[in-house]
Amino acid sequence: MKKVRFLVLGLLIVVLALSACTPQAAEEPVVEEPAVEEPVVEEPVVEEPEVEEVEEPVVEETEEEVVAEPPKIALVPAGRVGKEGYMFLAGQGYKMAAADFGFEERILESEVAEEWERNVRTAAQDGYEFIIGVGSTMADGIVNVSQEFPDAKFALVDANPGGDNVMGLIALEHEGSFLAGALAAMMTTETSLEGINEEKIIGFVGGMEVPSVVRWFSGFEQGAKYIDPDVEVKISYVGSFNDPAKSKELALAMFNEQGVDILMSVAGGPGDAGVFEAVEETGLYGIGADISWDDAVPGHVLTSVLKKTDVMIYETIASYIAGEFQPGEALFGVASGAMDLTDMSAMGDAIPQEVKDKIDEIKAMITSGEIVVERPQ
Amino acid sequence: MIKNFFDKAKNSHTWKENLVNLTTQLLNYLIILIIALFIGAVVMFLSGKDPIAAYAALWQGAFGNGYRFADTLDRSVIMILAGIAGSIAFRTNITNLGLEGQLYIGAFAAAWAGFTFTNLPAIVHIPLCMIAGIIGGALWTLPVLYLKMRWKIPELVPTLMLNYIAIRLTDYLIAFPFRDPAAPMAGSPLIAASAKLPKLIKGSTINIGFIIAIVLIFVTYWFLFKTKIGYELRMVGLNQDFAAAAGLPVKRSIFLAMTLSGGVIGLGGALMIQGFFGRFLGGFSSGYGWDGFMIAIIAQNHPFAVFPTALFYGALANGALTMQSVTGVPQAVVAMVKGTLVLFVTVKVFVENIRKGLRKWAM
Repeated sequence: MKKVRFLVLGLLIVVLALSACTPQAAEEPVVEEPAVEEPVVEEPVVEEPEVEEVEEPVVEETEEEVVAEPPKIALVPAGRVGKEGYMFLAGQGYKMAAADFGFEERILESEVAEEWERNVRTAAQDGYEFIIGVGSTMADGIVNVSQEFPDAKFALVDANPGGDNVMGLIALEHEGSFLAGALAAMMTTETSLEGINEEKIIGFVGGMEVPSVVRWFSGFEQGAKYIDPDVEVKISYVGSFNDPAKSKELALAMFNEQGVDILMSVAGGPGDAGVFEAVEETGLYGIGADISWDDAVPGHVLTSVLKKTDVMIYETIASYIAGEFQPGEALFGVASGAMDLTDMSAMGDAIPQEVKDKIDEIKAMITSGEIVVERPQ
Repeated sequence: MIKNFFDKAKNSHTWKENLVNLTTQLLNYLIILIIALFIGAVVMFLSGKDPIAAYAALWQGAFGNGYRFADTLDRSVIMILAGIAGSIAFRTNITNLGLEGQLYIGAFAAAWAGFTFTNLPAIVHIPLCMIAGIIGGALWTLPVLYLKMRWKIPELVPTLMLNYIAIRLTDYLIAFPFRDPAAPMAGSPLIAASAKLPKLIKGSTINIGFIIAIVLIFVTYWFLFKTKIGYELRMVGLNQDFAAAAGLPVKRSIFLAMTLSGGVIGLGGALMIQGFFGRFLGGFSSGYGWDGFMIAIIAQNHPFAVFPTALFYGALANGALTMQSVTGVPQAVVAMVKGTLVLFVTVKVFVENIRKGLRKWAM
């Protein structure tokens, strides 16, 4: 009797070990336990995977039937598309393209650096033919995976990682901020507006001195000088993209001590919030970047330079589906509509119509190539 | 009395007793696992998600096809090393809360060896980086050991504090002296191709690091349970005063356990840099040192139990990604399941009841 019971115990161990594992892993747990004594015990072990194997091909067949015409395109953001801002727009553009071109959505999000590459890899392993990464921070992941999956195509928003099957989708921030600079230069002498002084001084607060912020600033300065070479553009860097307190302090210093009346902010989401707090306190004027800040301080945000990641992604998918994939940099500026100003409706009538007309004129000139905004570096 | 103490420690039970113990443990883990998954399911249900679909996606993400399975194995590598590092320390009754910091220092040391030397053949360069990682991790335990040996300061707080120092120190190193301006985020230069670990399967991330981890499990078992030094470590862990009275080298054992623990997790850092990242990235670890802590607890500091536990952790990590992207259930649910597991393993609610029941039934 006792022996039988011990046999049952042994069997129980095998079953437990098995139930915790996949059919694939069925061999492993058996190795671990020295307790298995009788060969009788092992028989069910052999049978189990066989049963599984019968089922599997059936599943595969149905899958093969489902695989049809629409392309497999995945989005892998280095963050979450549920949040407002840059990633949110990227998600919007992708979803719109999915609806318009009739492919199934697959968004693999993570905020962890390690998982960006893993997500890109997962998409490639699953046979996605076109994989779009969002965020320059995940460039390493795109590089590594694109080399191992030469048949798949990749695109990355905001950086060009290089490779025969990789596109870098670059926004020309300087073209957008050129418009903002021109607007600021025209408005800084518009003394009819409350708080605007006579001096031709405008300002710019940047998060850190990194290439993208340098591009923003360079365009802003070029735009201002285009309108009036005498306009002085002050600049200060916060040293961080998420320090609202310091951003606000710098903005206040520019407003109160340096005679700045219009200030553009490219200080990262939290930093921008600090700058617009300063705008609210002083009653002067600000210009936002990336997304619309127009409603942050109603009546005191002249405009915002929109970086329309959604347009970039939609256009890229459209050209991919049209069979026009081209590795290397793809540039998105004012002409493509990816860089643009808001409609300035939040300011009401405060901005004269001729200023708005002038901006439209400049926009048309950039589009036609009459004005070439220089790209720093 | 002393003899009695050592006999008890040797686990000299009959095979029947062993069988009962083994069954007890497996049943215990099964019950705990079911409870943990059930609690996770309840939370998902309450937040309006379908728990069955979520777990199915989790399974798909972890074991759904060959690639996934290979990636899961790859993810479990760092968990295995972290678990073993924890086990060695805990076996000697040293609370090494500094695994995370030692991981960072080891990873940075390995990356440094990887990008500094560029003309070495792979056969030299790969082990060189690993050794750098081991030394880095082990060195980071020395301040703690000094405090402990010199002034009898418990290791608990110093190890914990050194974590923050290690993370900030490596942040500084890649922000200034070793910064690569071409890196997409704050990081060191890329390591040389000769320092990268060869892959086992193309398209997956699994590399020879997995084989190293498996070998390490057996080496650790052999070291802890079959060598004299390992025996001393365990005795010191069971009762330090008793071991001292019996003439065992307590200080040496503590020194050894601490540095070995740091060295193993340092090696884990090296494997991550050489096998996955290819460069040191600031804040690269998503709490693997802490995972190691938990894995050691769940595995009750046994190297063989570390493997399935680490595999489970790796599967959860890998599966959670798919679960989130397919069903929208946040990865945080997985953290909750892990937490519940640790809680129930620590409080040992079921073990004694199961053991009594089994004894009654079988004997």
